[in-house]
Amino acid sequence: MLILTRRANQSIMIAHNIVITVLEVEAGQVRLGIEAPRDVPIHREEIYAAIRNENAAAASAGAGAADALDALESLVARGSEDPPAEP
Amino acid sequence: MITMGSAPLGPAGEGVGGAAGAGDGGPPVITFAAGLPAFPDARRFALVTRGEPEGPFSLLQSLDHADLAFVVTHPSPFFPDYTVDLDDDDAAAIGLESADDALVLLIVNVTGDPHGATANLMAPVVVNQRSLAAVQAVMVDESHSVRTPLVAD
Repeated sequence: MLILTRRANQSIMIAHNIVITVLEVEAGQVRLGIEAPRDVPIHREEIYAAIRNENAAAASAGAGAADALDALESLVARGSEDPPAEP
Repeated sequence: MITMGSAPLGPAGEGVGGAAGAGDGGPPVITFAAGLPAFPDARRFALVTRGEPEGPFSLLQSLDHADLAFVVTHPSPFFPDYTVDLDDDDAAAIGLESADDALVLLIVNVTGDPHGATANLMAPVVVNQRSLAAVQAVMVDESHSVRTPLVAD
């Protein structure tokens, strides 16, 4: 990992078109400003990780997904006909 | 920012591909130019609807990875109050100018017992129905969980 020391109002360039600026350092928190092309997705790491993990969990093998759909549809169809049998 | 409610489908209930049209009669092919978290290389997906009349669930079948598919659902039958606030960058990325052109889909996690199925309300898929460009948006809101139960106990 490359480690750089920056102060408030100093920046880091990534490639030619991404600028990360330290805006404020206070009480154990750092505020960053990020300028990047619109096609570069930017996420808080923990949120990206949650979505990545959930996508991986939701992805199923093609046949498995079709089976899952069948099960879901029959569940929903049953639910609309009569109240759930189980609590 | 473009805010969209969970109305079932676009104008006249036309559904995805109504404007852009599949042309060849096959399912509409939507494109995630930026890929998806965990699957950055999976860009093109066929949106396969099922049943007649069409139910809430569809299959997003990857055309880049044959063994990759997601079950997705319209939010409205399960989460009638769900709205998506699409930020300007995401709207620009898919060329979306009006909420009327948007189709919102939730990725469903149903790998186990269907009673335990959950939907990802934090990261909805938003499709521009005119161009079929799509993005998995991120709603940073504590009330939107990646695992929201689909069927109330």
